[in-house]
Amino acid sequence: MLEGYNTIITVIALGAILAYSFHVVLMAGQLSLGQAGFASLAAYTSTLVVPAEPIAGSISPVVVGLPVGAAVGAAAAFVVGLPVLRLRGVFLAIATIAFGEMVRVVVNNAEWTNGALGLRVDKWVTFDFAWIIVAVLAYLFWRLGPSRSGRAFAAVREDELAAGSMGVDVVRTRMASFIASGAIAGVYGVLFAYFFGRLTPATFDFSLTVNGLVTAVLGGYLVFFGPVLGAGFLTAVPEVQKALGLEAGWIHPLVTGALLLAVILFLPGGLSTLFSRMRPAPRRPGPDYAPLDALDPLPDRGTPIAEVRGLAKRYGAVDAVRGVDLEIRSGEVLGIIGPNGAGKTTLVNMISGLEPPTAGEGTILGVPLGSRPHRFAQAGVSRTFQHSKLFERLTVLDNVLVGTHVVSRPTYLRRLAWLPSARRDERRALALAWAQLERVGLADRAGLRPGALSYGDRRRLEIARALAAHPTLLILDEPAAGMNHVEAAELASLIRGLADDGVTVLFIEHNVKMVLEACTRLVVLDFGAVIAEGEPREVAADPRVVEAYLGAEAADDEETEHV
Amino acid sequence: MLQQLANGVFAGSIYALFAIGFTLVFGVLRHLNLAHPAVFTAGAFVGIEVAARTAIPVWILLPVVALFGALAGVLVERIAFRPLRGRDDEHFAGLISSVALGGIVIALLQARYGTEPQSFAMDYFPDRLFEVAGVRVTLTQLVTLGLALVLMVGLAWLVSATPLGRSMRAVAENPTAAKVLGVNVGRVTAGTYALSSALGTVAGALLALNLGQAGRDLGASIELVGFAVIILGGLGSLWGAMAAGVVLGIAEALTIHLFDSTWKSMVAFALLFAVLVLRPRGLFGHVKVREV
Amino acid sequence: MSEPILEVEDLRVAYGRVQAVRGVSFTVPEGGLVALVGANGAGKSSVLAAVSGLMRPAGGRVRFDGEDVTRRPAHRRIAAGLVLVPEGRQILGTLTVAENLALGAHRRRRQAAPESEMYDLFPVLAERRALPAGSLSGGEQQMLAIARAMIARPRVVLLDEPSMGLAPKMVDEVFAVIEKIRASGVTVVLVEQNARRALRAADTGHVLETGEIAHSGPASELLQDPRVVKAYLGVE
Repeated sequence: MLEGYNTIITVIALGAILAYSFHVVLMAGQLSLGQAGFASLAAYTSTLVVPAEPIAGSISPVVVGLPVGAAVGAAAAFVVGLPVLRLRGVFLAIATIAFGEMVRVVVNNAEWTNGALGLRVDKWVTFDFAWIIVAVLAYLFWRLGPSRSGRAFAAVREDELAAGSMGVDVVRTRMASFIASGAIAGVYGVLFAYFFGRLTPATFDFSLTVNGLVTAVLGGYLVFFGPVLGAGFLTAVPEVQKALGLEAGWIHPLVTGALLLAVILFLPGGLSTLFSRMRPAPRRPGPDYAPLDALDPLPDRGTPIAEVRGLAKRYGAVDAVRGVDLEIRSGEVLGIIGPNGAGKTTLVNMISGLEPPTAGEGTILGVPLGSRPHRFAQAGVSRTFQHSKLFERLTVLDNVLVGTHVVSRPTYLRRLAWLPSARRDERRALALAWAQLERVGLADRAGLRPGALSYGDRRRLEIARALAAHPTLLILDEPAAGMNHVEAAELASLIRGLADDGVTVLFIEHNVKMVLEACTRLVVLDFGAVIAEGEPREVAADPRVVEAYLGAEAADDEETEHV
Repeated sequence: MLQQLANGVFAGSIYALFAIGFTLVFGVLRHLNLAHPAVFTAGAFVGIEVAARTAIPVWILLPVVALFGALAGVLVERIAFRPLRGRDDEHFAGLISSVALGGIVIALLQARYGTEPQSFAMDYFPDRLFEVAGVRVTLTQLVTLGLALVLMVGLAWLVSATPLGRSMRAVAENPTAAKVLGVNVGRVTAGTYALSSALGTVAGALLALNLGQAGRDLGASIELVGFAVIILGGLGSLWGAMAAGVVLGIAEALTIHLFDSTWKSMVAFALLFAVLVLRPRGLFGHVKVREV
Repeated sequence: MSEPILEVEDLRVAYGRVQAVRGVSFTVPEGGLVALVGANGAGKSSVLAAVSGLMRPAGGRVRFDGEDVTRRPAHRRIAAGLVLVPEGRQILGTLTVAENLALGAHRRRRQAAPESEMYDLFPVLAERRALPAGSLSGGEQQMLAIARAMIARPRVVLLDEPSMGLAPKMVDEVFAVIEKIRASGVTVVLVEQNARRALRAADTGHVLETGEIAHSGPASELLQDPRVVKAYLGVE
């Protein structure tokens, strides 16, 4: 019965494979559109290198061609990725389009490709062979989703800075997605050549890129089967029109365009949203899933964990931080206060690797200043941000699970083989994440998106995410901004509780009452330099601090309210 | 040689006109409107049809085309971008919805005009050939260049010196702040699209006038060059797009002169690739400071 | 008391399926200073967003100066004299201080105050008039945001968390400015996390809890109300 539809079914498979090469970069938030170039290089290489006759009498050339194509695609992606992956968003998109077009022009003009006339090969790809490849890809992506690597991809997509601060190596993750994309595009190129039996430069032009992107987005890039849905839809629509007797040449593109528009406008997340609405709310993991004690012990109280000398940061003509010396000892709660623009956030950004210092030296938990953020995170530094940087399209629970990145092991390869140890590791991460949600009182919202949380709950979620990394040094940038006195008092007691557990806390705050309640040592910055340091109440009474920061009325308030 | 340079400048002025529409929308609204090439093509077809039906002179024809373009721009925004406002994936989705709408526009052009290219009547714009310092230029080329200059300078004035321009700059910087300040963001958005598409359709009609005809792939043929121009010029920079359009036109002309026309499009992409890797803000763009 | 200049009736605001404001009603007399206080997520900022026209309410009515403005877009409310100073300040960082002020005035060009008047009110801005607004400190940006609203000579100013993220000394200055605004006869609606400061400045207060008004009354009484003290002001 399928006989008459063989071609269409194979075309759907090819469309899905092409879309997977876009899917994998979109998952990691990279708008990379060089797939046509990778596919072209892979297809030409494999056609020219692999013998046209079955090898050893029975192995079809396409079986040999696939690994060759994947390798060529991956290698090309790596080489192109080295320079272009510094770019982001539209810039990355256009640079990769430019690469694809350069490949096309070269192939079109070269001798060995037979120029615009192209090459002929035998047709070896049958529809079942194509669908086996689709099934393999779908399996790979299905197992990737809820693994540690899958979460790293999602974290990089949603917010690179936050992902880096949670210990995800952003550069490697982006490169991994880029190489995977090149490999899949290579597979597509080879399959295309051995299916249609013909290869021309025009095959791999800009319209192929647009098709692949449209298919991937239409299907939905947040769900592993999105590309298959997208390809099925886009291939089926013209066929259905033909079956209905709509023959005029312009009706096909019109209807396809209109349907595509309708899906994009009314189904955010693509067609796959139709099939993935019913996700159960996450539940509390059972107590047997909680081997939390496997975590490394924190350093002994009083051990110096960070020391920096002469730390400075300059933006153009502005000195944001000027020669700050700082020592942090394990178990202390260090408050940093100072007027707006005094350099507090710049200071903690340098300590957590978000910005390299202009001058100064030192190490934080053994990591030298100027290293990339994930190195600090792996050493035990975890932080929140002044303007919360949450992963908006992940659930509350998944946000915190990303936080466990540095204290969990990679699970993807083991998940592919269904090893029980992978399942154990995932449960352990889940238990760790859940415990943090309970600690900040958000367990009942685990299944929501951060967008549905109130401002204060978002700040609490960020703290839970930071705590899931089991940090030695926790950095909080204005955690109580936008909280009222009662909420701030709760936060202060949470911070004191953490200190009792041995976590070192460094926090920037404007709520003076909370600072005095929570911290054991206070540093005051003004114009990028330390103007006072020491026991909190003494520092707060220092006339220079009152003059620069607190102001007369606040000092009165302190007296009436606290004495 | 000089002849090639002149040809490059003429081609470049069309690239620039096409690209400033693109870059204007991106600069103000951060939308990459991929329906722009289709609207450009529609401008050419509408120009040809109106010229054939009414025989109005070219200096009335182009404003008519611009008016059509402005309307089309408003529709593109309403259909492909406005419904996405505020969504998480606004930018990805906008790429796809505008591709879809572009496809619809091209399908509609096919419905009305068929698959064959359309042509201006031979005697519609009697061309004359001039020879200046050994360089041959046609009247059409001169008109194109002059008009492109006038439109670009006019646009630059509009953005820098009028209330609409000030509102556009406010929206470009921070849409919420603009709204709080009482800027009618809906109207500024519509106005930006109207301007962008009016420039795009006029560019399309001018290119058709230069070529004598237009096919449905007119926009697609210039789309990638358009990307190159807006990046080389610095995304969102009007002056940059103008300069880059001309630079690219000249570079292409020189490539044809020195190598072979099949390598023509290599220049744009190689230049684009090199600039992106070495200087992502473009040749003429500013550094954007990112806030943590 | 004179006629209310602003009346909010059964206002409802929703984000998707989450109800942020569920039926809030209050009135603001001309020249008054009304404070809305409450916990995070109680819906205070959502009320201001709906009153200013930044958000479309899910239900209820907003009347300004006797007219129903519920469906009016933000720019028309501003033209009528109902101006918001948003949370997070939202200044235009790459434009200069003077350009920011000019934009503030453009909706009400005829009534607008001269720039110099703003520099008298906010001396710190006068020194910085030619600098990009993004180079100002947080406190100065807040002053600019308020000045940008005041230059349009509004009849009602809605202030959303003006003290958020500011050093204590700047908070004092912001409240001093609020006093001045009020003294000049302009009506103020103040949303604040800093409930104590807000209620000290206000004449009427409303305490929001999970999107509803839980307590209302003269601000001086709310400051003494044991329930309010316990839940929002903190026990000493």
